[in-house]
Parts: sequence; structure tokens; C-alpha cells
Amino acid sequence: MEIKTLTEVETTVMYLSGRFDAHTTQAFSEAAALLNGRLVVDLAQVIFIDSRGLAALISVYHRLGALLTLRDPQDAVRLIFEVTKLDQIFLFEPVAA
Amino acid sequence: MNDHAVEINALASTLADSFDQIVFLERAVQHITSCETLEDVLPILEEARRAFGAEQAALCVAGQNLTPVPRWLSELAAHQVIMMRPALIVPFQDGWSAFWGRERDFGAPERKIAETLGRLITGLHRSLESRREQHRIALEEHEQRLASQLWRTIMLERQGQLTQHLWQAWYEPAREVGGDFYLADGEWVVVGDISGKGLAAAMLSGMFQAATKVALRQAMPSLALEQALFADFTRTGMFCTLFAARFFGNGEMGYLNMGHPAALILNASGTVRRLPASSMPFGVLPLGNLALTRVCLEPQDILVMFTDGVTEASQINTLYGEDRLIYLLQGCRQPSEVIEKIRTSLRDWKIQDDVCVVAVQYVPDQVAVQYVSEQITVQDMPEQITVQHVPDQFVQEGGEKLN
Repeated sequence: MEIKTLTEVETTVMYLSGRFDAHTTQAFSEAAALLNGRLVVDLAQVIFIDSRGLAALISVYHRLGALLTLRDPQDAVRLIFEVTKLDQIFLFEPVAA
Repeated sequence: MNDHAVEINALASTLADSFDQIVFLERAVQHITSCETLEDVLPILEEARRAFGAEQAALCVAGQNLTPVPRWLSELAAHQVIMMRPALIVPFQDGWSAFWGRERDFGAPERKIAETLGRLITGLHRSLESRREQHRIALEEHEQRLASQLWRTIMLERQGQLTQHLWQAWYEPAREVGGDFYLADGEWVVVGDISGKGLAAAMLSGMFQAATKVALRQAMPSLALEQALFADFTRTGMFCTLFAARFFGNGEMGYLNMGHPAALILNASGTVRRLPASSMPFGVLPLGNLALTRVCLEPQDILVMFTDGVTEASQINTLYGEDRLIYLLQGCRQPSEVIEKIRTSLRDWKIQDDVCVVAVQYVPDQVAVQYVSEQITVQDMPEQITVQHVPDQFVQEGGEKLN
């Protein structure tokens, strides 16, 4: 998985790509731990997310709450959020503004 | 004595010294190769000191002083050979040795011996380190085997019985131990999946399974579970998806699905009913007491509970998925058939997570219990398989809330 971070005014956008799973969550968690304020995690290029990826996002949610937004997940990834009902806690935005 | 005789005497003396050195080094090699610890090398250091005619000797290996070291010596950086009157300090790869306190200067022969001794000590140190590492790995493997045996005993063998139902389970951990779990206890059958895999997930799954057995005996099981374990889960940043089914014995079933893949009810007519999640996983947010959702099973209906290791099995860029599973299981008549079909089907897929499947069939007047738990070996990935779409009329959703 690749992670690119772009900080704009009061908002940081993390662009993830590839598989968001046990092999890649540590890099994401370490990068996210350094961020404060509004965070958008762009999932448009993520092709797969497993429970470790979900757990990493939940940890960020516990720290940032409503300041965390997930952007534009592919259908397969969105389905995981729906199946687990985690779409009830995360805020989603459709596409990059 | 003429010049010729002097020369011969000098040669004889050199020859005798060389012989002494060879004898000493031979003894040193024999001694050091039999050493069990670095401290065991000290007698040979002492022997070298005596042979050199030095009053004192010191040895340091891997930053550890194996002899008393005077302050002036400890302050010297052992980066180069120092031959100063009356001391000889010889660094080697993993440490240094020092000799001092004699009348005459140390010469090249003593330096050569000390350097050779240093190489031997370095070899011993590396060998001991390697042996220690092998021992650590062996111990780790032993502990892992014990943990695995204990985990398998708890997870796979200590299961209860269900009246009026036949059931079978299949559990394939991704590693020696797994984060998935299932249990049958009284009227309940539960399948769960702790996020992650390996030892950390297995430890939490053990805790969760034990707490679940107690919670299921309470009036409000989900609340009891929350009071017991929620804090531990938030502290560790993990969560658990869970499908808990309660069989009341008359075909009525209540269930709780916390963020878990939808369980399936297979009917003899070929219809498949999905029982999707009604809440998010355990450990994300406090959820309080959750009511069971009620469904009625017809005789011979089969409830299939599974973890995401099944649906997330993959081939290149294709996931196994729920549709494929539903299509596969339509028309199954026995729990054993369900398990066998899934196992056979997954042989062609790459499994990357723990896999757990439990199939329970409602069979009025059935008292006997079937129980299977084995592993399969995942084969190489074959070419992609195309699955037919399951007609919607065969798939139904959910149940109704129990008050």
C-alpha cells in the first residue's frame, strides 16, 4: 500500500492505495498518529481492506471523532463497511473536492 | 664464544620460543573450543599472562569486562594495538585483551599470540551467541507449540451439545493459533472473529470465548460481555465481530449479529435467507443491551455461520465473496455437506485469514451431536472461476426483533 499525505488549510488528506491490511496498517497508523485537526482518508485507490485496516481506522476515529472523514471508497471496500455496520460511525464523502 | 656460536644460540632460543608459542596456542585452541561460557576462557588468559611474564591481564568481550579493569585501561580506546612500556593492549573483533607490568617491552611474538587469542575468543563469542539464539528459537517454538495445544484444546475440544440440532464445524487458523472462535454452550452457538490474527488475536479470542460463556447465562448477554471486556478491547485497539444464535428447541431461533458476515439459513426448497449485521462489531463503541432478532427454522433448515476468511479468500484480484458462497450452498441437505462443499471449493482459493464455518441443522427429536474440526491444505491458485448470479427470489433477508 502506498500512502501520500497532502496538508491543505486546516485539513490533511491521506491518499491510500493498494491493499489496506495487516502488512500495511502500521505505516498508516504511524503517519496518522502525527496528524491533528481534520483528516480525510482517501480510499479511492484501495482495492481491499481487512479487519486490521478497519481497526486502524477505528483507532484514528477514537482519537479524532468527527474530524475524520473517509473519501470515495470503491464498492468492494464500501461493502465491508456496510457488512460490519461500521458505516454507522464513519463519515463518508464522495469524491475529491 | 665465537660469532657463529652466538648466532646458533639465538636461533635455538627463537626456535624454543616458537615451539612454546605453538604448544601454548594448541592448548588455547583445545581449551577455548570446549568453553561453555566466556568466563571459561579466563584460565587461558592467565596462562598467557604467565607466559608473557606480565603481572596483570584483562579481557573485555562484547562490552563486558571479564576481569577487573583499572581505570587507566578502561579509558583507553581499544581501537589500535598499543605497545607502551610496559603494556600490551590488543583489540580484536568483539573486544580487547591487555597485559601489563613486566620489566622489558612486549614484542612482536607476544602481540602475535595475543592477536591469535583474540581471534579464538571472537570465534567462541560468536559460537555462544549462535547457540543462545538457537536455544531461544527452540524455546520460542516449544512455547508456541504449548500455546497452540492449549488454544486447540480450548477452541476445538471443549464444546457443548445441542438438542434437536445436528451441527458441524470447520476451523482452519491462518497460523498456529487464530483469532476466530466458535463455541456451543447450552442453547447457544457462537461464531466470532477478533480483528487481526496470530498470537495477539488468539489471546483475545480465548478471553472472549471464556467471557462469552459466562455472558450467555446472563439476562442481557451483550451488556454482560461489554461490562467484562469492552475496556480491554478499546485499550488494545481491536474489535470482534460476532454471530450468536440461540436455539429455543422448537424451531425458534434468536440471533445477534455484531458486525459479522451475514449468516445464511438454507431451506430445503433452495431459498437462502441472509441474517445480516444489526449492529457494529464489539469493542468499537459501547452498545449496551442488544435485543435478539427472531427467526423460525423449519425442520431440516441449516444455519450456516462463517467468518470473513471464507468470503475474503482470493484468486489474483477476485474475492470469493458471499454470492459465490450462497450459490455453492443452495440445496445442501446436511451440515456435513455444507462443510465439505466449502472446504472443497476453497481448495482452489488462497486463504489469507483464519477460516471458521459452523453449520447447524434443525432436526426435531434429534439428540445426537456431530462434530468435526479438521484442517485443509490450501493448494496453488487455479484459474479464475466464474460464478453464476444467485437469483434474487432465492435470497431473503433478516428476521424480526424479539421483545
